[in-house]
Amino acid sequence: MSNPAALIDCDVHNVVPSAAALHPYLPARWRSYSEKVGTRTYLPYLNGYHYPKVSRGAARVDAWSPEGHAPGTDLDFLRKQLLDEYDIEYAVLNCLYRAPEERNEPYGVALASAVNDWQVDHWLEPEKRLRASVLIPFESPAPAAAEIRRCAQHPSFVQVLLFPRTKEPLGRRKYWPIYEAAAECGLPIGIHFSSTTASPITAGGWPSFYIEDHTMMSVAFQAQLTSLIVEGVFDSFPRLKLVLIEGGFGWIPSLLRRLDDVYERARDEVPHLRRRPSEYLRDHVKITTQPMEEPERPRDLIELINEVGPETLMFSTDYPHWDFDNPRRAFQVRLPADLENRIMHQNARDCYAF
Amino acid sequence: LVLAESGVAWLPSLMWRLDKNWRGLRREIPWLDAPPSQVIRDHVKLTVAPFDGPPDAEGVRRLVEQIGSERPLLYASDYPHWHRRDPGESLLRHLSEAERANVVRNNALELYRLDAPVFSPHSPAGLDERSSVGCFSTGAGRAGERSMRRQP
Repeated sequence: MSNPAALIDCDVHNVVPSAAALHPYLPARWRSYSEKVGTRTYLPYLNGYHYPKVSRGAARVDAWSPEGHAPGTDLDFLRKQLLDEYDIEYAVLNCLYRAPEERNEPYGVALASAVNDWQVDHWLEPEKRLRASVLIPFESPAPAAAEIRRCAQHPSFVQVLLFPRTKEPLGRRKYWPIYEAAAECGLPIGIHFSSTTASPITAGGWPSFYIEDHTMMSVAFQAQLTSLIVEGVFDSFPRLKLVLIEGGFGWIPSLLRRLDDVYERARDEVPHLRRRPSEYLRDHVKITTQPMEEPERPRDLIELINEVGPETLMFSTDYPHWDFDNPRRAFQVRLPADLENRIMHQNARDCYAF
Repeated sequence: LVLAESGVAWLPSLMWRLDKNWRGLRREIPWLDAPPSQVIRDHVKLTVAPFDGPPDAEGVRRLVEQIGSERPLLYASDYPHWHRRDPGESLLRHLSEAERANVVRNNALELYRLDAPVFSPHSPAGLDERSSVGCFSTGAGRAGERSMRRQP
């Protein structure tokens, strides 16, 4: 095992500062469209995203640079406030630009490609500690698969980015071209906390408050993990890896137990599964740690981590967002050294082949 | 609030997450002046069929401690439906006698006031607190030996 003090941060956000920043990366047709029409997503709020004013951009209040650059837009400030501050060996960027939710489908496809090219020029080439996820128009699986194959040629793209609230559950055949391309390129599929579809964002309908949106995000992850397992995605793509990012992990044991129980009764419905549902976790799934689970009795955290599997969790900060986990303070208990090494860097090395 | 056939094992992690988010976001919902876990413990009961807790005694013990006690748990058979894990086998046998008595009987007696004085057409005492929600006694014996039903 390598340097035990190493730290790999598996969830960091770089932010496109303006629509104009993407113009050099858009074909003339879509540059013109961007200027004259602009982005229209299918999220149902008139005035953009529904994160509350209490946390503008969902960001830490100290993440604006001294020069006034918005959080996640300034590489130098990200180096200073994150990479250097915590001596981070690698950080995985997840750029949450809203290209996958663009209503004009070919424009969304062009936007995703533009974001990826912008990431190469402004983040990946200038800073070798940074790696990134490929942003894809996941509701348009054929061009999404093409974008995966295009970006996989650049060694700093280490993952494919999906969001957990999709038009259909992610195990559905519609999305399989994405998994085929990811498996072929050896890139894990990362599903990252985000919350815009035309469908209600909780299993009980549209909520009133952000605290509900944030808390219930784990339910979207549960639905997607369940769908990917029972639809047979891992049986059809045995080399495919899945990373659940910012969805928590306290719900994993009860979900898998329940899934196994129902499977015993209903396995004739899903004869394509070669294993019990819970058995897919160990070989196919990694989970990032932020927002860290905080059991009322801190010692229960170690029990939970062992139940989820010592090889499963990968540390993440979610910089520059307000619910950032500080690597020095995120765990309420001292982890055993081998477990700490696994979570802070070794599991990420295994997952992303760092 | 009673959650029926919902499972129970997911509750601790939801309470942890709600409490953590309440600490970070309570400005948004200032009328909630107690941690959500406390609201849940004060107001929520859950039936235990199907039981989705750990398979071992130690795991069940830890789950009950994380929920806070066995007081929110209500026995249910879910008759005539079938589940792979019967609550008797998977949960009740791992509880102490007192805990088991609460889950199979006392928690429900208290919640539904099954042994409270009730209005009965046969009772000369007439109205009492139950009558305001339109409940009628259906006969003797339901509340068992601790019956407080008024004598005619």
